[in-house]
Amino acid sequence: MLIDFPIISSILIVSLLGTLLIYLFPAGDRGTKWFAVLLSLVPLALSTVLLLGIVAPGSVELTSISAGGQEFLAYEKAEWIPQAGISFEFGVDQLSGPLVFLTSLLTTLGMIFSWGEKHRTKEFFAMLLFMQATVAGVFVSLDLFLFFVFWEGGLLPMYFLIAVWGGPKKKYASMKFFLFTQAASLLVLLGILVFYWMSGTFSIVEILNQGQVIPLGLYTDLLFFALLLGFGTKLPMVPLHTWLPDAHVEAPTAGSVLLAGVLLKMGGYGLIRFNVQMLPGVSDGLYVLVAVIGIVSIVYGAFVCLAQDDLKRLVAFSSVSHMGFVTLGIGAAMLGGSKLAMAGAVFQLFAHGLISAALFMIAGALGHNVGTRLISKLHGAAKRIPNTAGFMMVAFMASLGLPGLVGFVAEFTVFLGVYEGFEAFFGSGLWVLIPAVAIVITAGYYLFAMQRAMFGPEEEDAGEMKDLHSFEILPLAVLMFFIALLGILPYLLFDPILGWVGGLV
Amino acid sequence: MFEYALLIVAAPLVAFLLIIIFGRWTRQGGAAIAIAALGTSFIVSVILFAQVLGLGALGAPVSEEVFKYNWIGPIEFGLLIDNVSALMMVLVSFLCLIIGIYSLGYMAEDKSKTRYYAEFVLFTAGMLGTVSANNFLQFLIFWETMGLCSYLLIGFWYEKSEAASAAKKAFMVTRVGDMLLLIGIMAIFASLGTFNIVEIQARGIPAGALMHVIPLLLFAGAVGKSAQFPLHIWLPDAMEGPTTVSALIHAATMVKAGVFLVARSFPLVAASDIASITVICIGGFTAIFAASMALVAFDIKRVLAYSTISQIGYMILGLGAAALLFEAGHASHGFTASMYHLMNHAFFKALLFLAAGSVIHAVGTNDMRVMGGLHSKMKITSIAMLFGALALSGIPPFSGFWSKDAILHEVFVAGEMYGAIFTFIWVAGVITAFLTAFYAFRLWFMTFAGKTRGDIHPHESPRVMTYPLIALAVFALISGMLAVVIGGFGHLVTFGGTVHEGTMELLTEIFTSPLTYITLFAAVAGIGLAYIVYCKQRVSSEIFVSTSVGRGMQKLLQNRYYLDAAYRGFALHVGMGIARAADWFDRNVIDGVVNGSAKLGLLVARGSDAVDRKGVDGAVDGIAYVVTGSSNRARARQTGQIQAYIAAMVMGMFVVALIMLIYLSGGW
Repeated sequence: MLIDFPIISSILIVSLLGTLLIYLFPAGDRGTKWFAVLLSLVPLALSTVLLLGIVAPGSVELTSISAGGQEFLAYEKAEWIPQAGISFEFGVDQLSGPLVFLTSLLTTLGMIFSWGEKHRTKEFFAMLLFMQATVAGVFVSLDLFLFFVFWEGGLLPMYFLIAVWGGPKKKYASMKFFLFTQAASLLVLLGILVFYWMSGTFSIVEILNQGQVIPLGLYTDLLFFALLLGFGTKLPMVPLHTWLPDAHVEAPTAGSVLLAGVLLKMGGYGLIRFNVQMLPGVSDGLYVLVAVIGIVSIVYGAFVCLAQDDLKRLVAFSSVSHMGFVTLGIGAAMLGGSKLAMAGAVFQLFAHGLISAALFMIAGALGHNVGTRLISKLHGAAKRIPNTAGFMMVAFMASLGLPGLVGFVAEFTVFLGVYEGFEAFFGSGLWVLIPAVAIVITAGYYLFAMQRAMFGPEEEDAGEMKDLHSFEILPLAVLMFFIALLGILPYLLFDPILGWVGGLV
Repeated sequence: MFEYALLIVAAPLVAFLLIIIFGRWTRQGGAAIAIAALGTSFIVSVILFAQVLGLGALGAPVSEEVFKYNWIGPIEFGLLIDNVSALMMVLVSFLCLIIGIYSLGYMAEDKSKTRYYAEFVLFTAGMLGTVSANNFLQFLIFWETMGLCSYLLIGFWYEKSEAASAAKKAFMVTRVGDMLLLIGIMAIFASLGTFNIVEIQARGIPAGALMHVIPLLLFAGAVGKSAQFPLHIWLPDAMEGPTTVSALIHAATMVKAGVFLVARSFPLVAASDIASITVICIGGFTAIFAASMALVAFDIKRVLAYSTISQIGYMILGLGAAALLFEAGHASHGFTASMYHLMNHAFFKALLFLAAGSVIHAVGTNDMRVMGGLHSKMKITSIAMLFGALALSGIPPFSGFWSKDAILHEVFVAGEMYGAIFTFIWVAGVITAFLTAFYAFRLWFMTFAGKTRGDIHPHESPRVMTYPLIALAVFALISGMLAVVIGGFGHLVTFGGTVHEGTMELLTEIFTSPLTYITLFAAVAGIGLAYIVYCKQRVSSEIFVSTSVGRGMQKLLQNRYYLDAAYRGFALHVGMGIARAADWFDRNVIDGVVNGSAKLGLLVARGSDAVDRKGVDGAVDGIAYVVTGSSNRARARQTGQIQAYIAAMVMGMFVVALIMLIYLSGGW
């Protein structure tokens, strides 16, 4: 079935218009939430079509355009500022398509999960929808200027989500979030301008078609480094991660879900699209740096997790650790030419989006329903809140890389690629032992948390505890479905990604 | 031809889904679904086994891969049906079924039956999947599924702190082995480009350092899962789970998966002398090391747990001896003997655990010091357990005798070829046989003989529990002999060619060898000593601790050689120490730099504050109004400097766009 319909711009227009429409509702109207959720189903449905076009091209055929040997699907282009060569240019590929789907999915699920939100409900849901539009915009933009507009635009809803609906230290956290990512954006902007000056166009398609647009040498390496810092802050990689735990701890649950689930992925997406795809042939030393940063992030993040008492802070640092797999995968792939490592890194973007969303939902639910997220104050809670404990167990297992769930596929393929990459570059693959230590530590902090928070005798004087509401169970169940599905049949998503990576590494 | 084998693994998986979805609404918490699935697996396994036997017993061994599909990219999954996997599937599904039935009685009063049966069938699927995997990656996936179920079932009564802690310990300790196994598997893929077991067995690892490293990494996985030294510490604690779980997972099936892993990677182990010798040493040492700790335990299940570790040590030892002999170009029955012992041990150890469960069910405690004299009250349990103890001690014609004897024989042969060190290990094996018989009968006499010591009111268990005991007792008696009748277990499972031996030749060989009588004597001596001390009480058990050396030994053994404390100390001080240091570093150093520079920035910003207020506040309030509504103006104002940044951002982008427009239109 050939679909010749502007899917991508429809996604963006519906979300942006929807944001405005929600504002038209009178404050406190019960219909607002229904309207927002139902409206968010439209971009979700359209994103599903995109995803199907990518993973099952036999069933859904999308228009395509070739760019530097790769293909972009559902390609659209319209003039915007022709004097500057800036246009509305959209398209997705195996890298961005799954992330667009993830964005739409987590927006809808986050909205359902926030059904109990009482404070400024209307604005809250509007912000979520606005966020969906901007983040999806980042992934689909094939025009660098447009990309940057969305990239910056995404900061606003997240800033407000933290600053208005956040926890006690929201002022500090939102400010830190804003300053950090804003500083990083400057580097990204610089990179975009350099690309523009060297190639004479903002179009990613044209830049890729031109091939080596930037002459190799010191300046290219510097550009790579600047972009690495810019995207790495968003990812986040150690030591630029420090905005993340504070932002997560203070953000409302749906905000954390989108922050960890998709906002961080913008960093990984940028690294692969810009540094890897658009800057071929940079020095190996830079990719050694990328791999080392990945290893440090993985191990350091895991150790810090072990010392946390606030479950949300723990999950935040686990994001630092798990996003390290993306960095490590990219580094190893470019050093040793391992396709599996790069595909694993791309797959991890999606896998971590699902898993971290579930983790933050659970941490958030504990905060709302039990009144504390502190592991030391929860002990013995499983008896009273068995559903929470059950979902927590599955989410923890997924995050610690239990085979059969989606996280394992990503971690295993990255490790496998790292082994091959290190063997090719350093002479022995056994160096993989260093990041692999995190396998044990990760199991340690999750099981330790599980034991202290959920198991053991019940606390005598614990206050009232409520188990998950049905509107909280539904989104979690949907996430678990995808986590298990892609863990058991990973080829559904992995093979298209692997095919795409084939033209890259 | 064996496509239907998929059903063996799929049935419990489907049952798992059905139980977690519908189990809570059925009367027995999904027990019926579980039993039906386990029964299906068992029946299909028997058919498969019969077919494999019919095809392969007298000719070349069967080896066929079925139901293949690509997991990702070029990595192919599927089932490997050969003699070993067919035997393992029949064994595993039988034990799962029989222990599942026993659970109907044992778990009858538990409130969380749905959870129990769901985890039980998922475990079954994991074990059946492990033994039938055609590649190491799939093997690992099911292997970890088992690990998860083991973790969940040890912590089944999670409101007990000990259970929660033991569950975590089990998962963590095995995870160390799993991590090394994972690296080993990756190293195989990197050097051979495949995970496929048959292909890997056929091709072997190319010469080089990896030839030794890979089998050692795989063996590390086996050491964790099969609770061998130095990763044995989780298994005794795992006894916190329900006894059915101890019987199934921590005695009969999952802990054997490590042995199975060594068997599956046997050609790789046999290609490396370093690996073979390591396997022998770990197996031999674990056998005697664990047996020694069983001597002083009073918890009936812990005695059995140490016994399991020790017996698996024998199996590992047998495989190692065979590997070393193969490496040197000699034929060996060690592989066969180990798999033989694996089967026999599965029956009699499951029996011992279920009998212990029956006792615990009756008296409500694990402590043997308050038991005694139970024989008259629960005859079926008592006799069943006696069968188990005889099999464990290696008294003919019970099953343990045949296989343990075969293993020790192989070790002796290896010792004859390689000198003192292996003769020494053989001696340790014989001493272990003595210790085994002693603690087995110490357990039996303390439980069933003499007078009741505590205030307990035992009663025989219901039929749903005693019938499985009887069935297993029969197997503890005959499973060893069955192999003799068909002329040696080598007809079922062998490595490197079928061994053709008749029943009479086999018996002659066994009973004319002086080695047989040495081990047998050790076993009888052990039983005799236990009889004197714990049944007749001619000699008080105090005699063992009458000297300072004896007391020191007892303290050492009761503290498990202080290894648990050492590991715990390492985890708490080193692991958590690094974690706290990292956390401190993150909070103070990294955040400190950030906050410090933010303060500096603020200082600079104050200078331009006045400009800021007049210039951009209007625009910012406008944005704040749109986003959060008029009543929130105060709040937006309170967020301080941030408006300035938003405004700066918007204006910055505007300026950049402007500059570019001018630049592009050539306006400079």
